[in-house]
Amino acid sequence: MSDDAKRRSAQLVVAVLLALLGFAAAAQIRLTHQDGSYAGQRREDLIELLDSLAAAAERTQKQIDELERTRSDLLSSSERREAAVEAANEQLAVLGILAGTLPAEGPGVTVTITDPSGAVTAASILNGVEELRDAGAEAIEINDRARVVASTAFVERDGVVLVDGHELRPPYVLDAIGSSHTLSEAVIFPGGLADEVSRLGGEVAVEEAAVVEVGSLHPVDPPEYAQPTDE
Amino acid sequence: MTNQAGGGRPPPPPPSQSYAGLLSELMTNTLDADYEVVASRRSAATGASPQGESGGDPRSGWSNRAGIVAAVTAFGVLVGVSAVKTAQDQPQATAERAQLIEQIEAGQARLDDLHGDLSALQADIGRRQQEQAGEASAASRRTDDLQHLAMSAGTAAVTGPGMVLNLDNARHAVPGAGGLILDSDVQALVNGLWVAGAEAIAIDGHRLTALTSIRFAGQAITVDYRSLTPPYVVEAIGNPDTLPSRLLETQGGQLWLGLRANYGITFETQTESTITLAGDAYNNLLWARPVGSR
Repeated sequence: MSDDAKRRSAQLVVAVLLALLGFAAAAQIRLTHQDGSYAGQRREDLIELLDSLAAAAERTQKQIDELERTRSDLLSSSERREAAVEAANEQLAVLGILAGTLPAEGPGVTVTITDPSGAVTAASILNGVEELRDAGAEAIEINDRARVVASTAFVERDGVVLVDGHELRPPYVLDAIGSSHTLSEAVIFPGGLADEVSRLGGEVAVEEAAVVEVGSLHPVDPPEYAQPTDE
Repeated sequence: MTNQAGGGRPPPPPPSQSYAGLLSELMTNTLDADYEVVASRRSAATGASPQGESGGDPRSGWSNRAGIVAAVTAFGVLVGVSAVKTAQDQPQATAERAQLIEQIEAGQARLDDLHGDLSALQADIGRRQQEQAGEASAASRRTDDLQHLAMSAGTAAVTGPGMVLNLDNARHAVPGAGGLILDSDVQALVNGLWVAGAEAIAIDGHRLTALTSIRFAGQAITVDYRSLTPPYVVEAIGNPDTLPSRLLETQGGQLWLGLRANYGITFETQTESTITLAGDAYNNLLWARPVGSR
């Protein structure tokens, strides 16, 4: 055997050994690497960690369940509240129109009272308002200034008509919301407002309209003597 | 150690009697002598020694080398097998460990998810509670508004001091003679009460609202389309100290003083410390709606 052959066989052996060593080392490193941040921890530590994780998850889940119940309570109460709010808003709209705090619109009539001789009195206008109320008027205003509500006061001072303190001058224009036909019938009914005004030398014109706007407002002051009852 | 003088001779055999000598012989001569013996024996046997001292018996060289290779290979195989075994054993030993770690990581991911859910839920509930608190205060404002409006509109019951008026036709009154109470008389009286500062009025228990009409039908007054029979009772809530006197200053009050004086119509007033008026039950409006609601 030559020196060359001997050298080769020796190199071969070394190569094989190195390969095995490399394989073993690589296998070891791979296994070690898998552990990652848990490399230094014993199996018992890991099991304890797993247990405490499970316990923490359970606690958190319980909290979540509780909060979900709270939320569903909130949701159903907010649904109830929304229904109540809707009802309250409808009521507010109706009361606002009745009390005169909201501008209103709807079908109705515009009644124009001319009074060339200045003979039409506050009482005549009040009578006209009563006729309109009797015919189902739901909102009334005079001369786009005076909103007529339950407590509206009609006063005559020195020949001037004052409605809730508003000085009104003829022609008196009454806007009334309601059934336009019924309202106009009531005004021109024999013995009604039209007759009375013509007797006083004035004239009444009624115009039915699909939309009449009652835009003036009556401020609501808190009552001084009337208190809500406990019912 | 002796040193004998002599020319051309190989170095004398070292003294073999001392330990130091043996050691140094081992160090210096080691196998040389043996090799010489073997080599001479070999050359004697073959008659030629072409390979010289470094040659030697090929078989004995091979067996030596084979032994070394075998030993090294065995060592390599041992290391390799041990490495492979370790590589195979370790997954088994750490299969459980890896599984544990996997479970831990899954558990942590789940906990993170749960914490995310929890904080989202808390934020959501906080937002809703805040909303509802806002709604509640809006609702209480709305309730206050509703109460004021309903009192003003005449749909809520109210109580307070005020005055009570008793009205009746004149005794033996006949139509046209002036002894009958007309709707315009009652309208004027009610108007006078509003002028005098009344806050709520009812006629025979019927609360007056913006919709209430006071009319005359047949021989009787109608309030809110309901026919009333005399005597009529008008109740008004307001300042009991000023309401009666202010009423008498109004045109309505003056009218009624005249009716009483001239036609014998009953017109009695008295103050009350507590009057309770029911609210008018109302239905939804049929025609009027808030501007811009449709």
